Amino acid sequence: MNARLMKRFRSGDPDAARDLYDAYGRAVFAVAYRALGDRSLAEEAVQQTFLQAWRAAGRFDPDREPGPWLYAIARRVAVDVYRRERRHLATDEEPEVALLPPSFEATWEAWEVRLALDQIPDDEQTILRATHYLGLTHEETAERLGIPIGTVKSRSYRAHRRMAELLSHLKEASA
Amino acid sequence: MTCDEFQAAYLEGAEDDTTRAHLDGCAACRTRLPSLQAGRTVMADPAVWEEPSPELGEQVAMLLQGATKPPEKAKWPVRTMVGVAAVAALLLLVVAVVALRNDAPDWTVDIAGTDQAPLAMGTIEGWATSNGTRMVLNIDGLDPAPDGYFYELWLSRGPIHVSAGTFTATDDVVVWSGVPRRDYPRLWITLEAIDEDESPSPTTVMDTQTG
Repeated sequence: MNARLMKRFRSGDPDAARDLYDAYGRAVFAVAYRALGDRSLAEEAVQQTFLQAWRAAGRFDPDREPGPWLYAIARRVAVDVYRRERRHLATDEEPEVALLPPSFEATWEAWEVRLALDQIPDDEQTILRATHYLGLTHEETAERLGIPIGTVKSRSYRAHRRMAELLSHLKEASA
Repeated sequence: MTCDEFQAAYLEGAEDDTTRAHLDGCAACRTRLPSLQAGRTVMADPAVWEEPSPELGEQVAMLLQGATKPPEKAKWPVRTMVGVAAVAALLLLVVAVVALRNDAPDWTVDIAGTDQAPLAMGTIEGWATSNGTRMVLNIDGLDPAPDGYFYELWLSRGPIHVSAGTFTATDDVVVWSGVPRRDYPRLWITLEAIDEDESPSPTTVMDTQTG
């Protein structure tokens, strides 16, 4: 499916651009938002990422997975946006710093987690969001969603088991 | 507790006697632990939960419609392509034979990106010559050094670090070292600021000793 999509994208099919955004847009946004910490800068980086991908698509081998390629473009764009903003803010007392801040670490993990979340059914993703983003307990989640706590627990188990499987390649053990 | 139950519970944040007992007795789950830890940490990051504006997809589509269409690859006649492929294959064969006879490296080592450059990977090939060790870097996925910075390749034996040369981008990089690799087994690349400090910076971007 990706090979067909990338062949269409490479040939300049606007629908393919939209399909590629639907598949990877949120992951690109997650990388940019994690790195830049600013919603409007992150959205600017998303636009630039897809524009650069569009312009470079002729050199992309459609038989390869587009994910790592898009991630690399997204991170580079975020670096460019960060450095541009730093130049604007640089003063004599606080000169421009070229080293990247810690927010640029673990962007690959953010990319992978976002792509994994996109594969989780909506009802299970809601439970994951409640647990990890909102910090709610199972009881609080059940109350907020108006569903039995047993349902929350079973969905939570299924969702985390799926996530564990999807993220099994995230880091190799050093041992 | 099964492995599935442990991994789901750990990813959710559970660390109690039950999970610890399973982990102590399960080598497979200990192997999975770094992935689970990384996943758990990143799942708490708002960046993976924030949604872009609903209209962003449409904005991207409009931006691309107004941009230059990506160039399609030129379509060559099949006969021409077959001829070119045959000549290229012959040339490759000749080059390979010559390379194998005359220029095979004395050693090759894999080098991987650190967290500073997670997509970087490649090899370093070395030739021992009477002038020292000549090394060719074959690296993908490492961005060019930013303005005011450069990359530096080091050979190390414990706390002793010897610079083998500097570069700013990874195309056609050839560097030399006056010390033999067999005595300096670790090769690593740092990002260095242009300043008076000649020691390795703390920013390691690639290393032969990772993981």
